Amino acid sequence: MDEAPISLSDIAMLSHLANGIIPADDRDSGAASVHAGPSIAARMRFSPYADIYVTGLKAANDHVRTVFGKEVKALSPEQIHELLMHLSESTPAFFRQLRADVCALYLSDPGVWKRIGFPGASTELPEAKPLVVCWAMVVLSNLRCSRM
Amino acid sequence: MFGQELKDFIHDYAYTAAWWAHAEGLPDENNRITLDSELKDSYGLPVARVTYEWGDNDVKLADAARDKAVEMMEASGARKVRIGLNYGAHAMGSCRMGDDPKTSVVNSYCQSHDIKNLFICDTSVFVTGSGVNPTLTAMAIADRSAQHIIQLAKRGGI
Repeated sequence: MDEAPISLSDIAMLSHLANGIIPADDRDSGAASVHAGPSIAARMRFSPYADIYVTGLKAANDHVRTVFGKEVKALSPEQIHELLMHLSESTPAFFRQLRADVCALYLSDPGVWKRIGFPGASTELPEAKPLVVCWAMVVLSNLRCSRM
Repeated sequence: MFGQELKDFIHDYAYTAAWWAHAEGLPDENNRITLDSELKDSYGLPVARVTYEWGDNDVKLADAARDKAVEMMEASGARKVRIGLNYGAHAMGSCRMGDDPKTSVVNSYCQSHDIKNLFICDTSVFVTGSGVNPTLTAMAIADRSAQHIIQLAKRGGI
């Protein structure tokens, strides 16, 4: 990909697409709750899928300009859905990668784990405790190994 | 899937169960790995071209497993059944084991027929794709091969 910085319009496009993949509803604000669009934009250049993203963004911008004739931020949720449907067919590699990255970011939020009911009791632990548990497990496993 | 449908699917996770059917893909001489005649890697060497297609038996196995899984899910009271198809996980074959150098790559000790000090100790020596995880078999084959290498080395055979 070229060395041009990510533009604000690309960040806006990725944000609207991400929020269309996991939308807001009465549970939470979806992909927006984890800032999926800006996060993907920030790391896009360093991703092994950089070229796929560049190709997909161009296809998305072209479609928005030629079919809707306005900026992405002016599109309705239904039009964003239509845009995503188009991208899933015209640039499937981009669509699949974007969907995977949005899901990964969304599912990295412990708050989402709680709402989904996954992965269980560990979501109730304060942040520091999992580290203590890991440390304890390492110590215990070393003790076991030293006795073998 | 995306949008509200995807989000509902994610949030249904705690109420989701899955069947995973294992099956064996039969060997087919048309399924093979060759060197690509056109595409080169960053070193200028031809890249590997994998040619693989499901055979009739493979398709029938997958169909039967899918239908039975749906039947079991529905009998269990599932409210919504989604069908997915996974195309496999473990690579096997391409350097198959055998006694005849004309029809195989390595002998029963994973030793190359053509290059006597080359031993191929992984799942590529399988003569067919196993229906289950292949790691333990690969380890057993490698152990047998290692023992053979030790004996050969002691005799100055390699």
